[in-house]
Amino acid sequence: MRAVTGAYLLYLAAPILLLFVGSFGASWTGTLLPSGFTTKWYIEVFTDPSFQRAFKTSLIVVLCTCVLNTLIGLPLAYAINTAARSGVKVAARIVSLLPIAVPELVLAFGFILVFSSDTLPFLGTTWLLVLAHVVLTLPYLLNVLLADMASLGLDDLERVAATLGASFRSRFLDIVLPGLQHSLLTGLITVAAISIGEFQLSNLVAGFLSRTYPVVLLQAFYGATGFACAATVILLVLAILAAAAGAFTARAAQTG
Amino acid sequence: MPIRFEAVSFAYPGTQTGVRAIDLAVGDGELVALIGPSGSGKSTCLKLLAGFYRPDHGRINVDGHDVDTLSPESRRLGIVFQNYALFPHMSTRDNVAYPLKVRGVARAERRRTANEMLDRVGLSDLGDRAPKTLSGGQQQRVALARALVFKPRALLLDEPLSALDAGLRVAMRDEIRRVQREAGIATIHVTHDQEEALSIADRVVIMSDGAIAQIGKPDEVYDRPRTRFVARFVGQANFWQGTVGEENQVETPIGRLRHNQEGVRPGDKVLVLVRPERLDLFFENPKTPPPNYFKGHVTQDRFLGSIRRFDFAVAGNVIRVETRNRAAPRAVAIPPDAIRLLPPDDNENKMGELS
Repeated sequence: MRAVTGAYLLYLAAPILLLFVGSFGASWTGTLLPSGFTTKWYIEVFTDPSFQRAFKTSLIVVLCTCVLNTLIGLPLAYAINTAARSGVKVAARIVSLLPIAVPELVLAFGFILVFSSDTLPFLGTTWLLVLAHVVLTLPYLLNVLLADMASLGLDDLERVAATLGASFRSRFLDIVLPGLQHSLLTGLITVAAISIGEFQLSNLVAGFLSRTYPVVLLQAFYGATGFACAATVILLVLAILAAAAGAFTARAAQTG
Repeated sequence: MPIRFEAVSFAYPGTQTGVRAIDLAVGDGELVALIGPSGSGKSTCLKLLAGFYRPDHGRINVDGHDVDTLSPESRRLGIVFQNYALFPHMSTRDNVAYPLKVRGVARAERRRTANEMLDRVGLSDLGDRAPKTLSGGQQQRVALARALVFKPRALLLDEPLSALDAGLRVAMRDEIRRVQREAGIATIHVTHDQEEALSIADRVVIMSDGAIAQIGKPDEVYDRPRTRFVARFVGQANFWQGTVGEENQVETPIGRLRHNQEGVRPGDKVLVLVRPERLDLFFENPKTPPPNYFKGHVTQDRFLGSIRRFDFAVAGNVIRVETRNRAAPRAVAIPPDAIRLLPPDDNENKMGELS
């Protein structure tokens, strides 16, 4: 049991470790491990204009995706949760989960078909990229919010608040928002992590000047290995930061 | 009258279930318990009163005003839910103060009032605690304090004790009754526990199938139930089909019984009801046997702690008896005033059935 677990963990960690080692290696051609130590690959990545632009684009896309997710996801989750008929709830859940079930490639071709037309010529804009990310990540946020609403018993809390004299506004500000703040945060961090690492859809939908970090990263692998490793490690660090932040908020929510 | 239902009917959309023709009035400071099996409509009555649903027909009146057009938040009714529904992110005190907060009461004032209210339910030390750190009984009391703090027109309790364990449940009954008396507030208490209802209510409403089967004081519904359903729901009972004879006699499968109920005529088909604790027990042969005297022997004997419930075999039939006595009797007698004659049920004609 232990041996299997160990082997699996090694299998998981090995590529990541190799990337890390490779990003500091001066030269790496044809050998198992690179030779020499250097930080020049990182400096090169940081000074590369296309990487700088991609990094900025990625941050903008992540930020906008999170904002839009909150503005759409919160009311939507609330509406699904308070829907009177259970059939409506089930239907809403299935529809909202579709983007997870449908291959991203299908989604991307759909976007390309619709938005390369003359009436909606938005292919290649950052906004379309943001929209694509929202479509992709919204189900994850919805799931987290709906699960939290169910475990909180939010309908009962709202009902009791209503009988105690709270208007819809008071109920939303005093009961719903504070109750959901932790799950909203955890959900948004998941959203951010997915948005940062998203490649398939972004690669097909993004314009040349609005490419996200992972899309540009692919180009790096046609050049020096060390450069590619350094660029990947940066993405990895970003993703780990997002995941760690998620884990910490989840724990804080449990204890607090 | 603080609460009045006038011919209220309601069906859940797309179903036949709901309530039919509910007429009910609850007076000032009165505690009325709604009991019935699940699905009998007791919780529906509460939801209609609270404003979560609107009646299809009829009117609901609170303090002389029709409330049917009012939303739940403007009805001013204090409700305690089955699961208490305390706000998890607020302290106990903030929970109790919440109804005052939404009414715009100043911070210092609502803190003072909430503390007073917590004091009344015996939780003055726990104001700063989070609700989930409290025990079930304490949470229940917080919910009660929160429902009463804004001086509502009436108090509605929706199975408030069902989540507590048996011992605590009995203690909390007294607690609810005490707080309710102190507040002098009209109260509707929904429960499926007949003992709970009989022990704390001024009046009991027994519901069956969406309609009211009987309303009365606890001893009234127990001693003089109108139907087999009511008799069976509020306690243990012997039932026999019978035919009324001459001179206060009634023919039953266990023999001819003397009764002293007025208003029946010879030839009437009736359902004979005898509560098991009303029987007299005989351990020796009496000199002159009393009326309705039966020799027999104990078959099933069930020891329940404070009482014993046994089946007494009599001429091919069984009488169910409850007693504190540990010995086995040789005979039992049914005092004539322990016999209630109910209208016969049309759809059930099982003879000598126990329940």
